[in-house]
Amino acid sequence: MSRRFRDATLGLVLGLVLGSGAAAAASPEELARGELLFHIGGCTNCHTAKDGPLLAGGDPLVTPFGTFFAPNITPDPQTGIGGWSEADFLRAMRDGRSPRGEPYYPAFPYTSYAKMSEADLRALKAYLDTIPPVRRPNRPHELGFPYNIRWGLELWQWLFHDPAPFRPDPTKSEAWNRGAYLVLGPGHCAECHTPRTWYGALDQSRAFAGGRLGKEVIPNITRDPDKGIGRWTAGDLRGLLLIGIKPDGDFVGGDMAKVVRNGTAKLPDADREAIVEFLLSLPPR
Amino acid sequence: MGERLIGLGALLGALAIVGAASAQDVIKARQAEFKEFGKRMGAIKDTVIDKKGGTLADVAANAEYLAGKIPQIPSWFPEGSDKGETRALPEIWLNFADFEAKAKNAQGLAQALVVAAKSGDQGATAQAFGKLGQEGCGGCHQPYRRPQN
Repeated sequence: MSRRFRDATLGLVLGLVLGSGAAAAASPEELARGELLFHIGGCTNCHTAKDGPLLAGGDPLVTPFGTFFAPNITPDPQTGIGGWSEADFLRAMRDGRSPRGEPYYPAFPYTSYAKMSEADLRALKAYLDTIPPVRRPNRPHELGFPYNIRWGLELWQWLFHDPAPFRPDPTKSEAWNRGAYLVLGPGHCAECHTPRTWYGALDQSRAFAGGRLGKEVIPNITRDPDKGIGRWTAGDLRGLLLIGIKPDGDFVGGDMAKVVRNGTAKLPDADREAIVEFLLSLPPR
Repeated sequence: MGERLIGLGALLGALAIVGAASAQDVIKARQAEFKEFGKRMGAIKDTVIDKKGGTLADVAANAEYLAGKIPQIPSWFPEGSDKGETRALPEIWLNFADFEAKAKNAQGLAQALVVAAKSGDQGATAQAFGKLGQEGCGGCHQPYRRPQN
């Protein structure tokens, strides 16, 4: 064995050891950031069943396309995502593909998560690695024709999935851009608040105009004064994101109650204000 | 005999009409009560969340009003009062014990808000308020109320 080859091998091994060591030891700041993204991302809303173990798989998500069962995303190596590398995780979140390269259904909102920054995605992965692993096999989705044809997903992704990260608008304020990032990226608000076409893509001409999703009525959150929240003040929106109260003193229910409790209520004030600023700028539809 | 039967029929018919009218009255009356709840909750929010007027003493007074009224809620839902212009779901009467338990829980949360507001602690008041809304009001609004169209 030549000396050069041996040195190269040693370097490679050292690099691997150091590399994996660096990935395992996330700083407390990175973990805190990952936790915040975990909350705003609402991971638990779909991936945790009612009274079930955290992130070990969710309750059925009933959609017009069929019923989805969000999988186990605890770090369990067999039934969860414990065996995933950081690259696997980035690929799932941005390209909507499993480590084996299979496309995911957009019920998993990678179409929004793809807009997250790489640093945020890494922080989120670091945080997810700290969740207690739970062994719980996944339940297959129950979908009707033609949505049960997996190759259809290849076509769907090719047509409708744009994996480009969020690009700030330099003509807008820093807070607006932060709000836009949180709403369009990790918060994935559009996934419910924007109606879908029959082929399951978001109808951007009706962005944030609400509609129906399964049994739930999804409100219009644009500035339309009658159909949307055009009459709401910044204070009204702040109250909703903080504790879930609506201007009439009633409280949001259903899945939005979870979004508030697990997500928007836990944000730092500055982030909540940023979301308010962005939402109040949505054109009426 | 025949006349008596006709008389009885007329009487029952009249009773049915009265019954239907009073079901709608029951619905109207409880809706007015809940509207008042909403107003009080809105006033608390103005003070606690928006910090635009009102004192913690006002918050305590409004919370006391709610804590006093909430135990009556089950009596506002006599059986059959889901027929009419109401978002009340029939599940209420299938799980009436749970419905009553939820009201009791909401009452406790309103009382906790009274205590928090009287202590003068802004943060604890805001927290207790959020809990009352999410778990108290939300406790029934999620399982027992039809979503708005």
